[in-house]
Amino acid sequence: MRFMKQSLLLLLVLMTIAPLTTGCWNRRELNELAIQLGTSIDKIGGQYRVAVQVVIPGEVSARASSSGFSPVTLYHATASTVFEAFRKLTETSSRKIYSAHIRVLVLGESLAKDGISEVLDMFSRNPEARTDFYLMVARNTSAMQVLKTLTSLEKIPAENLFYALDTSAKTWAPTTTVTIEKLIEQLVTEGRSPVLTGVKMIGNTQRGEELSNVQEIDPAAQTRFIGLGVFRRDKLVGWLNEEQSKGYNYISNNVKSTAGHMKCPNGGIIGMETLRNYTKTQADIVNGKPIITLKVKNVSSITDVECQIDLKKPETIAALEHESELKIEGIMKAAVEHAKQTYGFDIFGFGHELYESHPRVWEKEKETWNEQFKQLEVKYEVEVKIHKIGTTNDSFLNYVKE
Amino acid sequence: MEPSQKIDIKQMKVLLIFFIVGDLMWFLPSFTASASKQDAWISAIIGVVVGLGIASFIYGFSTKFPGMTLIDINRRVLGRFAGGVLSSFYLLHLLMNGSAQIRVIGDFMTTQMMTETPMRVVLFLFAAVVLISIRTGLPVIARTAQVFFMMFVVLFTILFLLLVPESEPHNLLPLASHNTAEMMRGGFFVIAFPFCQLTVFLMLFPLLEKEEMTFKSFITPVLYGGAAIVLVVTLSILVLGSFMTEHQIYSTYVMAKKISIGNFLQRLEAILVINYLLSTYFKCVISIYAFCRGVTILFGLSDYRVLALPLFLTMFGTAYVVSSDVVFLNSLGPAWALWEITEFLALIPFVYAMHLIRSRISGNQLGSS
Repeated sequence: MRFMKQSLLLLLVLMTIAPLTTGCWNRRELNELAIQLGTSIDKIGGQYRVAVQVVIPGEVSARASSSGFSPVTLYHATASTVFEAFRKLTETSSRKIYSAHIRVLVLGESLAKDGISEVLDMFSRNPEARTDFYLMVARNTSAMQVLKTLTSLEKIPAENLFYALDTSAKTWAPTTTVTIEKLIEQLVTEGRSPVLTGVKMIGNTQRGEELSNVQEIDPAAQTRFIGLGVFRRDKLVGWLNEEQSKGYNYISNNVKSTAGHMKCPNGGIIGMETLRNYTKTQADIVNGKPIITLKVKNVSSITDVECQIDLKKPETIAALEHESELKIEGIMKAAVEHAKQTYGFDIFGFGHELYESHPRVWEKEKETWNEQFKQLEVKYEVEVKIHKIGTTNDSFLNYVKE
Repeated sequence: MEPSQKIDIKQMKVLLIFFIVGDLMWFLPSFTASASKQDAWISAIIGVVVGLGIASFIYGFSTKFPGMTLIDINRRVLGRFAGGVLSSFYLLHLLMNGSAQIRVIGDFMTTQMMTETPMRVVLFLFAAVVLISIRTGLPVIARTAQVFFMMFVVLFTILFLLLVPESEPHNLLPLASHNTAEMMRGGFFVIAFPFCQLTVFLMLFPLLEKEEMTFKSFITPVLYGGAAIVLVVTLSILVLGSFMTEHQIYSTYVMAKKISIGNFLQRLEAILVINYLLSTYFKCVISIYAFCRGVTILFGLSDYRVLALPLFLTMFGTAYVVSSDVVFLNSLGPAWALWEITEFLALIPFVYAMHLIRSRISGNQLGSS
């Protein structure tokens, strides 16, 4: 009897628990989702055109053989707010867009010129999306076009953009990665301005959409990162060229590894690889005036010799180190001068450095900071170490005979 | 009759730590950062130092009245009627506090994790868990706390260690650029929230088995809890920067999202949230349990458990109506902090002063001091 009573009670408890353990309220199965990897936003006549690149799972799975269709598809919609446009995508898409796996956000150039803040709020407010995707600005093309180019090494074009920028930022000075948190941080911080890497289309843009683009060894259309876009507040005001972008990244300590070259003493050039680089920006007050000092510590190695030079002598290395120091200084100086003359405002965040070390001085100076920036004294202290010259010492170039 | 409600010192220590960490992980970094930006960590240290003083005072107060709960003390010092009125206010405060904890969970779940789930479902489930815990009694709650404590410590350590590589020392600069008033304003929240709320333990001290709690065994867990607060606030500033800390509603969750070790150890936030849920749960259960005991003593009931079911419905309802939306709840912060401080001042220093006056008048007949 007691056993009966207990089992009945247990049954009752289980029945009560059952409705509570049915999992999430708004569960979504994998086959009901459209996984969004790339997003682009263009501004067209005061409205936002949102395009999302959605992965087609069957086409990218390792097991199922591809049926020869495109691995991704693109949906686009235009509405007054970005979120509305996202929902409006369901007019063409069979599934609701799932944004947790977003890798890249491409912003249209015209949108960037009008201001990007309004668009960004949705991405930081939305709890679904992760914040580790990269932002970029489409240059000389619409943002949507950038997502329309098929790529072969990474089957998914958005992944291609993500990894291309990631690798490039790590190994090539003129590019840098910006996540949404970093961007917002720079937008809201006094004395700082954001930059975003530009992406442009090269080759036959129209062919990029066709599957034949990935059937070729040298694809007809490709995307390419080029230069940094300079923002004043949240508006794109101009582009830095390759050298200036390099300078910007050296100043902002974004350079991790890169390649460069410099002149040999006797003519010709010598190639260098930067292995490590660290830049420290220091703000001092000298005679009541702020002075910025850029301290660069750089470890490089020699990668290719294209001139007559004796690499067996220690003095040569010292001379090369000095030459390299001048070169890096020159790159940074050119970027600073360009910013002073062309933009006339502090794109490097020197103002913020001043605030960090001399908050009281900054309080006084911040109103006129952009004016002061034009006359700001910037000092450069570059220290280059060349520890390695590769596997050979003196180049065979010195011994080439007839 | 109700079963024995006695717990031992070790369990009391664990409950103390859980109570202090409590729901602070949710909003304390953002509250302190709104007052003193990148100097929030200094605010937190100031708050904890002052808070330790308050905690010591509460302990000292309890030793004057051994074996008595706060309700007993109030009635003894202020008389049956005045003491009862003051106690009622205190009990209302406990109920509101417990319900607010449930609301915090509800808001968080529907903001960050299950955005389309009606909040009432989350509140109902959480309140139901609290109901079950209350019915099983304090010893079971305390043992649960002991079991989960290990996990809590491990997860907290993981959070800390994994976030160190993400931290940006620059975020702390410029150091101490805010004036004392601003820093105190940040510290004010830290003083109010866990430390003034420690009065709830005056309801639990008489339930200690055999021995009395020594000062050392009381202040050590309080110190650990305080250290945890300082750590969380500092980490939040280091990892997110002062702007993000201030403007993210749940900055600790966003902070956990940042974890990424070698691109494979990441997306741990859902696991680390367990930690925040645990401490909030214990804080809620302790508040509500103290409320039950208080009502039992005030009205001379024989078994507090009869209160559990009606209380569950009250909590569920209160948690739902305590605020119309998440904005209102967060804007309540400063007012709520003032309420905590007022409750503390009205209960401990005021009652103690009354006690001193009365014992002087009646020639030391009242208190045991």
